[in-house]
Amino acid sequence: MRFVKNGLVALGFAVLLSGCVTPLPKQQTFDRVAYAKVKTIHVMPMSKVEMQVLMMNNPAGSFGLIGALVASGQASSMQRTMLGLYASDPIHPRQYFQAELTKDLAARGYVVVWPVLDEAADAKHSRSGLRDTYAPVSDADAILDVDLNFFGFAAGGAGKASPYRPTATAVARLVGADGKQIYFTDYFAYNNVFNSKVAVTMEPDPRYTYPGFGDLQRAGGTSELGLKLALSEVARKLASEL
Amino acid sequence: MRLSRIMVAACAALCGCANTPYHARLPDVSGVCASEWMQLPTTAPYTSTLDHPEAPPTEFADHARCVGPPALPARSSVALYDLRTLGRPAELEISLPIAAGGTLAGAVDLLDKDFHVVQRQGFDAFTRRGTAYTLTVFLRDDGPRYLALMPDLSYVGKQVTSIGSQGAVVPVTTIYVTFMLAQGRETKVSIPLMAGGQVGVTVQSSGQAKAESGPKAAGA
Repeated sequence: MRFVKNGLVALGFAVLLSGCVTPLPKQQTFDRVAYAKVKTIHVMPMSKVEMQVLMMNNPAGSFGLIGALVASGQASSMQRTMLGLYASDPIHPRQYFQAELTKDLAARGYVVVWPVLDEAADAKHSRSGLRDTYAPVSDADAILDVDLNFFGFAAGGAGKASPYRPTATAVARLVGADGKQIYFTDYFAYNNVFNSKVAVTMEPDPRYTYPGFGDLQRAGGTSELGLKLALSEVARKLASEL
Repeated sequence: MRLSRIMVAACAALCGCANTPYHARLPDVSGVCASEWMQLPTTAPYTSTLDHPEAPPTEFADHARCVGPPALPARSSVALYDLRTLGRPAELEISLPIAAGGTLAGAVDLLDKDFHVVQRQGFDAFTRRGTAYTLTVFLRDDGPRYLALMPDLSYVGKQVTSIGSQGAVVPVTTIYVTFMLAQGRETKVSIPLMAGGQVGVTVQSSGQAKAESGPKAAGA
């Protein structure tokens, strides 16, 4: 049931990111000169992230609620299969992203303060993935709220002309240490198969292209490198915007 | 035969399939080039409004003029934007829409009142987004007075790939029932980076930029 729920959440997010529902919070570029005092960044706990497998425009979705459930069931079955393939060396998206983002922010001169990661804990977010409120912090100059909305493999449609590719989307916001003033808001998409007009876009590495789910299965652990690359690229791009 | 061709053409025009695909126009740099910045006509950036927050894209070739030495080391096409009358602080967003018919690989020179370069940003400073390359410039009291947009020749001639998806719903009729079938596929387009293309330059006050549904202070 959890996997079916994840599939429906992924579908919902795809609709949200493509701009078909309530507009997302407005983007704001970080003004490095105005906020030059920001040297230390406190990163809020990230939501739980699970690797997913999603086919956009799944034909099964044409057949009403039953079709949608079938599509979601397919997605969860593929997800279980891939998690099984990665069982010997499982990817921990939050930890991996955290390590990459810390490295990239440090390279830009920031000191990063992360909360102790509690794998069981989840964070409450609005629909965009961002929090509505921020409590002030005293251990940093700014607060970074970052959420990986989608992480896994996504295909633009059915058939071999629409391959599965590693995909990661994220939203990030930097606010002042008082939790009130917004310094930065932006969206990120590695493999922009959701057609976000505004997201900072990274084209996927063609080495990790899988025409069908069978090809993805046969690639086994190699495909995991593509997922890690997606996370690394999103972290690098986010750090470069700050 | 002729009638059938006319019918096909009429049908295509009526169903909207006859729209001419966009092709970027290249500015003309063959004539006499301006040697001084002051010889160039200037354009005012589009001012953002609540209803129309972004500048409608216009053709770079329509604004650009040829500039050569000594203003620039080599001949280039330049669109010059006048920032002198803009309220400050403000944010200036330069947007280069991504199109299969050509995207401007733009570079920006920020100039002071005497046309001296105070900052130079190449195409690599632009952020690739879903539908455009964008660059934000923050304008302060002591900031630049002119913006010169020109092609970044180190990127002109290169190609980038844009991957997305396209969905459609088609009616399927069987003996018993007609239903709508959702179909979709990945789209993969090569985008040529060119010395021409569309551009939008939008200015908004910093206060306006930050007036969004932001976070509420916890416990406030």
